[in-house]
Amino acid sequence: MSHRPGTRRQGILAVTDMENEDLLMRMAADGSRDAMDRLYAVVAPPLYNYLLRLAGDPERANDALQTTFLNAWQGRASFRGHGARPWLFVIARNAAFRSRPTGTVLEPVDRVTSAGIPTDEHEAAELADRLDAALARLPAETREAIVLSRVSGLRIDEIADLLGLTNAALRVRLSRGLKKIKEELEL
Amino acid sequence: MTKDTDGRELWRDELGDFADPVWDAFKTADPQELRVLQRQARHAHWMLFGLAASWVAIGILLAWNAQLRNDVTEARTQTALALLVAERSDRVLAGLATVRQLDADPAITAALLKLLKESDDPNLQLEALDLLINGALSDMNTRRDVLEQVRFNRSFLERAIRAREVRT
Repeated sequence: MSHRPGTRRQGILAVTDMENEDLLMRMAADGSRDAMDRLYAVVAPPLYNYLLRLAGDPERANDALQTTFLNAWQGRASFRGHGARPWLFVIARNAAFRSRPTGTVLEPVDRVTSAGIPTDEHEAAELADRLDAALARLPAETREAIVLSRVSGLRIDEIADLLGLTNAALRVRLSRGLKKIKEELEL
Repeated sequence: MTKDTDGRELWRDELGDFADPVWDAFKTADPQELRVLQRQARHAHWMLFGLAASWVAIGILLAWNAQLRNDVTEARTQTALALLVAERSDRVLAGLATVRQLDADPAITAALLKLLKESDDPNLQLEALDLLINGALSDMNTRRDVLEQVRFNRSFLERAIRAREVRT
């Protein structure tokens, strides 16, 4: 049995991940902590990796992540019933910007040591380091857009809403950023 | 980690064959587990426990208070009953004064009826009658019977009125 990406078969129901997240958030909005825990298991990784780039270090990213879910829990009554992931990303972005010291910019993720690992993995680690360096040299707004397009699982229009851009403006920003990365990586 | 989106398509458009290796080279890390809601949940459990304990404590206090009031009422009833059958009139009057502060009780009603029928002191009888009519006798028929008994007893009424005049 094959499914399109992002679709999960549950009994006779085919539920997309996003619908599943919306369902969990609706259950959480009705007061289910268990649903919130399950939603966390699904959405926390992309949120964290976005916050990690936004906040600059793991500790602040984790704090922002916890704040995001606390704010989401406390403000669950304002959830409109759909678009749980974009809604959580908006909360996360606000939490990160509120907690971020003035002048802080998006930082690369801490290095993964490449010493003593096999060649393929070594090359992969080297590419990851070079990508980090290339990202670090991008303007913050461009970097945020690229990070979101990579880790969030959101559609272009959802990212554009989050950043307050039109779809076309976001596409231009992403396109320029990726071209710059391509140049930096000498691909 | 993430599924294909139109964003990834854009990566492929821009990076061509290198899109997938670069996409995969993007470093990701795992978040910590959810702490704040669990802490809140624990906090909420303690609050619920505290609330339940408070209600139990209030219930115990109310029950204890009700028991205490019952004990006091019972003691005063017994005192009043003892005084109503005393030989000295002043003690009986004290008993009648106590009865005024108590709720209706069958034993007291019986004692008042006995006092009304058997006492030689019209003042005490009048007090007993007053208590019976205005409080102790909730049953209208019994109340009417008592009134019938004294209605045609002219000597009793005369003596009672005289006693009341003397008292005031």
